[in-house]
Amino acid sequence: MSKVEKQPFSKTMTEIKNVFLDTFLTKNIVLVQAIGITPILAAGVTLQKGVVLTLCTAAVLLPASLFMSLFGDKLPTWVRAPIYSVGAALILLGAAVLLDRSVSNELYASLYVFLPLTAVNTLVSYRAGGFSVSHVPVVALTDAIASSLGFGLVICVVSALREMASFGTLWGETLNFAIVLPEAALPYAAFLLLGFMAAFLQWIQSVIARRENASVRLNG
Amino acid sequence: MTDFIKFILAAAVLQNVVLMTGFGSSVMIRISKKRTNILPFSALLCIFATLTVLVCYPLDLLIGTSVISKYIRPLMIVTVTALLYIASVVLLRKRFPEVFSRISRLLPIAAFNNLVIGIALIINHQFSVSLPGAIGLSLGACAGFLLLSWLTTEGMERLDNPDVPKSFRGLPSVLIYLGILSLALMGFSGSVSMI
Repeated sequence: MSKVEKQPFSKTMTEIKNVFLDTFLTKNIVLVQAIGITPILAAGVTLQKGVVLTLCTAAVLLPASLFMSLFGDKLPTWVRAPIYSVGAALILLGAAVLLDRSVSNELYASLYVFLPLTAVNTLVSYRAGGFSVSHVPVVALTDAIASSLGFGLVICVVSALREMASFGTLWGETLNFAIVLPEAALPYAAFLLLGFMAAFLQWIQSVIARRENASVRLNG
Repeated sequence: MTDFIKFILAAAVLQNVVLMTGFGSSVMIRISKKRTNILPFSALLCIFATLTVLVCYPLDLLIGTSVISKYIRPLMIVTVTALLYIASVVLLRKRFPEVFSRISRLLPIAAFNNLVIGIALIINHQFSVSLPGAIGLSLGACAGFLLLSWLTTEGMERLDNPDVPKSFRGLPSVLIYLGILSLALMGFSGSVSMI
C-alpha cells in the first residue's frame, strides 16, 4: 500500500506502537542495528557530552525525518542525501552557536569535531534517508523520536559509566572512587561496553521469548 | 614527503583511524557483512575523502581562524562534499551509466559519512599539517578502513559458530572483537594519539 493511501486509525496506532518499541528497545538502533556508533565511541566519555549529543541528534533527526517523509518520494533518490546532510549541518550550526554562547564554551570546544558529525551520522542517513521516505509523517516522526531516545539511552549509559571509571565523576560531580581508570575514556572501552550491552539485550529477549513460549504451551 | 608517509602509516595501521577515533565504524560494520562491497566502497570512500581534503585545505586557509569561521567550517566541509557528490553523480550518469547503476546505492553512504567529514575537520582543528600530510592522512584513513573491513569480515565468519554463547552471537561478539583489536592496537602504538 502506498504511504499516501489512507489507512484505519487503529492500524496506524498499532504501527506507531510497533515502530516505537522496535526502534527504541527490541531492535534498538545502536545495540541491534549498529547505527550511530561513532559518537558513542569517540565523544561518549562524560554524561554531559552524551546528553548534548542526544539533543543534537534529536534536533537534526526530527525535522529531517519529517521532511523526507513529506517530500522524499518526490525527489530523485540521488538528490536526497545532499539535501538532508546540508540541512542537518545548517541546524547544527545553530546548535553550535547556542552551545558555545549560552551553555558552555568548554563543552563546545571538546565537542567541536563531533557535534557537526551528527549531520552525517548513520542515524540520519538510514532513518531519515531510508525509513522515513516510505512512511507517513506520523510514523516517520515516531521513528525519529524512538531513534533519538534509543541512541540517547545507550550513549548516556556508556558515557556515565566511562565518566565514573575514567574521571571518578558523574555530571562533573566528584564521586569517592578509590580506583580511577583513565583508559576507560579510550574507544576500546566503548566497544567492549557496547558489546556487553548488546549481549545483555539479546539475553533479555531470549528469556522473554522462552517465557512467552512456555505460557503459550500451558494455555494451549 | 615524510609527512605523507608518516600519516599514511599512522592512519592505516599504527593508529587505525576507525579503531582510534571511531570514524566510520557503523558504516564499516554494515559494509563488512558483504565481502564484495568492501573494495568498491573503500575506493569510493578514498576518492571522496581525498577530494574533500584537497578542496577544503585552501578554503580553510581562506576563511581563517575567526570566531565565525569556527562555526561555518563544518557547514563548508559538508557543502563541499555535497557538491563533489553531485558532480560525481552527474559525471557517472552521463559518461558511465552502467557503473553508476552498479554503485548508486553505495555512493551516498561513501560521500556522507563520519570518516570523510571527520578527517577534513581534524586536519584543521587538532593540528596544523602540510598538504601532503593531509592527503596522506585521508589516504591512510581509507586504507585503514579497508584493512579493518577485511579483518571484521574474517572475524564475523569465525565468530559465527556454536561455541559462542547464544547471547553473544552476531553484533555483540563483533563489537567485543573490535574492542579487543582496538586495545591491541593501543598496546602496540601507545595511548598518545597522533591523529
